[in-house]
Amino acid sequence: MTDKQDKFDPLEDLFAQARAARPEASDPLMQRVLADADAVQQAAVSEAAPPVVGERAAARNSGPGSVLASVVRFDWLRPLTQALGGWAGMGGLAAACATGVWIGIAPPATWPDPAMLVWQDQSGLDLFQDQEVALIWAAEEG
Amino acid sequence: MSRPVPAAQSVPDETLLMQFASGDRRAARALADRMLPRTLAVATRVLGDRAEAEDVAQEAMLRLWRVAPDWRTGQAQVTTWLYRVTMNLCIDRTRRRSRGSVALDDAPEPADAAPGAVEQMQATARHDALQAALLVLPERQRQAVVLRHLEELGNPEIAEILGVSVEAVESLLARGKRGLTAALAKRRDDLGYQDD
Repeated sequence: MTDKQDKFDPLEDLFAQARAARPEASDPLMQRVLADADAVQQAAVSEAAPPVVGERAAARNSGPGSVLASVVRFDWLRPLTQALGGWAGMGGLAAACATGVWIGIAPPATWPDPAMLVWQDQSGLDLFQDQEVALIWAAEEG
Repeated sequence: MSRPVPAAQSVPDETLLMQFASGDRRAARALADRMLPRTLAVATRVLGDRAEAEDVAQEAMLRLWRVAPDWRTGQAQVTTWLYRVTMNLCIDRTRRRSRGSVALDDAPEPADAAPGAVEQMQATARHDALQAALLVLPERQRQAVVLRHLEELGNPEIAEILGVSVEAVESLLARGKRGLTAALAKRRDDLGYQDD
């Protein structure tokens, strides 16, 4: 028996044959995988929308492919919107802010006016200080 | 099936992934052309079942699509990440399903056939015998052997995929090859490997 034959390893031969007969991806599998990719991309687009009016106009004006360009511009917003519960959460937050501002501008008639309370408090304090100063001046003048 | 876009062949995997995250559909096709055959091949070898391997490959690719927007540059090679996901999915599959693996002795014997078809049948028998022997191995040994000897990856990358040290990979490979040799020993003559 020669050295060459002694070194022949059936296992390595089996490995080599298996490498040569690598399983191929079928067309239906490839189509399913690409459909998944398309769905993920579509979900990303709808998650990033809707852009604000100015951005939307800019996207319209920047030619073909501009919708995807606007999606890229909104990537930084994604973590914030997700943390707040998506666009629904952002909408709720905006509504709460608007309500707070409106209550500040026009509070219900039955509520005390906080601005007036503060003003009255400062007025009383000023009057007291004025009396103190007047007494000190009177004492000094004899 | 249409051929891959030639221009995309020189683009790094990570760049394609970022292009995909930016909405480029051609990047999805280029990535699928590169990655799907690999993940399908290892899943088929590790699971020994084509239908299950296709499910695993599709799921692994879906996870790749989903991770794309959050992919951090330089965090890992895309292929290494994908192999790791595929191996973990294979482990989940084998744990869920009942132990119905093919015993080595159940692998098809080379049948009598007309001259000319003998080589093809012997090749098929060898392929089936190797697959059956792989399925006899413990899971981690099987994964290491598939990644090293069928996917031809280096030991450091295999260590990263399996989440073990390089020394552990070397041990898995040594034990795996011994196991395969022992399992195939009694089929040696059947498979055309006569002892001279």
